[in-house]
Amino acid sequence: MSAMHSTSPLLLGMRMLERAVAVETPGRPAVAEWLAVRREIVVWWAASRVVVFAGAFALHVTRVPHGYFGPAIFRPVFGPLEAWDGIWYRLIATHGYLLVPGRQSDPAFFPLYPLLLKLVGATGLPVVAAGLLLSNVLFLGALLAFDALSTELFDPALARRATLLLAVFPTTYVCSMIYPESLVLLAYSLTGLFAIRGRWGACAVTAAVAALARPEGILLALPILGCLVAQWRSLEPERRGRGVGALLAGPAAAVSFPLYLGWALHDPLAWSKAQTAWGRSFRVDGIYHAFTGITRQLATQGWPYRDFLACVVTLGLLALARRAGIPWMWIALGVATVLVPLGSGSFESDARFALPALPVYWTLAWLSRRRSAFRAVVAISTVLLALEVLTLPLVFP
Amino acid sequence: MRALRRFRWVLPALAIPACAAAAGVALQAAAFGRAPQDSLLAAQALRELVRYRVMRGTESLAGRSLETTCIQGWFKIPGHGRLLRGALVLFSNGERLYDIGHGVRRLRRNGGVGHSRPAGRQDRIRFILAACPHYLGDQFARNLVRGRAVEAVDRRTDGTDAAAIVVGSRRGQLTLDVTSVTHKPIALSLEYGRFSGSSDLVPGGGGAEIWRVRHAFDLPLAPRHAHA
Repeated sequence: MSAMHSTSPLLLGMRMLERAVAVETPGRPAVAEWLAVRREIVVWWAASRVVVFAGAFALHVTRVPHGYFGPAIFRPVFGPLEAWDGIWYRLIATHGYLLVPGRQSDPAFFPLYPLLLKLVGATGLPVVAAGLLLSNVLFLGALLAFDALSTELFDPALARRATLLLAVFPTTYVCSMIYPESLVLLAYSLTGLFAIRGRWGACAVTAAVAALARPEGILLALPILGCLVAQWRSLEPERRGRGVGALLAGPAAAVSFPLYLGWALHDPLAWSKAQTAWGRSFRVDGIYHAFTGITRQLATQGWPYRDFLACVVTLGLLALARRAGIPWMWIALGVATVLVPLGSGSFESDARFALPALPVYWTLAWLSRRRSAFRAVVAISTVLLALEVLTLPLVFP
Repeated sequence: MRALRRFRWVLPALAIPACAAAAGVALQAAAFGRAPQDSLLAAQALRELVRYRVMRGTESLAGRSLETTCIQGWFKIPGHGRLLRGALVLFSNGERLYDIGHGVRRLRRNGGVGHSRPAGRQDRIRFILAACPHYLGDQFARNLVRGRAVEAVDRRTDGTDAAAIVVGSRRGQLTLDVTSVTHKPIALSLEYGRFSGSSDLVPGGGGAEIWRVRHAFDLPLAPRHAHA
């Protein structure tokens, strides 16, 4: 009889429930504690996103300034956040890739972000809503991961300051647009975190994610190399192998894009051909041309100032990074993140491309040790963040 | 054996990037698939089309048949300080249409560029049928870039194996016939409301064609323009 009771479905169900509750009970306080420690980050993320969305909504209401898209950009409530490259990412998610010779076409955009857009869109959400949701949630994830990484490298106070400064950093408005930058930030932070902790398998996955989201993701090989060299002597042979695998995972994942294009479009060089049509063909002397051409551009146009100044400020902060105690390979990653895009001979969008230069936020946090300095940096960043959103109809990120 | 153990790290070092590359390709292939064959053919036809600077043709519209020559490039237009990119079309009856970025315009009978008026709907259709490569290419590229449906149908045009590439909607439809192997443009047809026209095309032309058209538009011929 007792045996019958012990195998009845009802009893089995009860026991499973008991087990589930028993497992969950000690977990709840741990989760609550985990969240409580990071509540500040969530609040700052929400506040900074309110600034971005309020700016976009203000543009929708006022319908000025008119720029490249004319009044069409103001029709959707958050129109400016869907514009520019967001249009292309949505096209890829909807129609896939096609190289149109001599024209700006979508193989210039790396595949992982539109792939996620397609996945989220498959839930029934409109692609635009899926993109905005995805980017903003990924940005919150990026802030949490960056905080964990910073805590591994620095004291908790500096780590937290750096995270909060990243939350309101002026160029993070793109993390609320249909752009892959929040995914890249998340992948950069997680890769660093896993590399420091010696979790090479996870590190390989996140490095591959970064390299599939943007080509600059392959630069993560620099901090991975730094961590691997530091841990090499203490690693067993198999873990050394995993470390080397993680080092090569990013470049290998990046290579998968031309391989796919070769299969899908019969043209493995479609990415570089599309880049050329976008005016972004990379040259050995590209950085030299970017610096020699900028004076001419600044004399005739206003907008290149934004990217040029962002580049100069970023490089200035990276120059101070060693004094803040930032490891060399992370500084190298920051410098490469800023300078490699200049290889196309132009400063265009360099402010956005420099966003994943993580040492910038650590240096900024180190410089704003005094509360007054921190407040000043936050105030300036927030104003610039709002201004960047308000000028979105005029100039691309 | 000991030597083998020393190189135990090589296997994961190679397997992890190999898996990353394979998984990357598989994910992209599963998510986006292959580009439609019709769109790929249209893209190849577009690549061939925009190689040409000159397009000659015989167009038929509203029961009238005329020979056309289109040249395109950068032109020094009186009244404009800098070179302007555009396309000039000369008809065998002496009519002249052009577009330098402000829409299609018709030249007055005895005037040069600068003495023009906006072209009417029929003239705009005649301009399209002249098949200026970049102008026509823009129409096709716009559809391809926006992921609109492009259809390609195999058929024989003037005794040649050809593919007809159809773009547009019910309101207006453009069909470009290209040779099957080389994708050279050989014919263009257009259906737009009550208008229906077609054009047999011969892409390319020498310096003499360019000189003839520029002369008809009263535009000086610079040596660097004398190629097609």
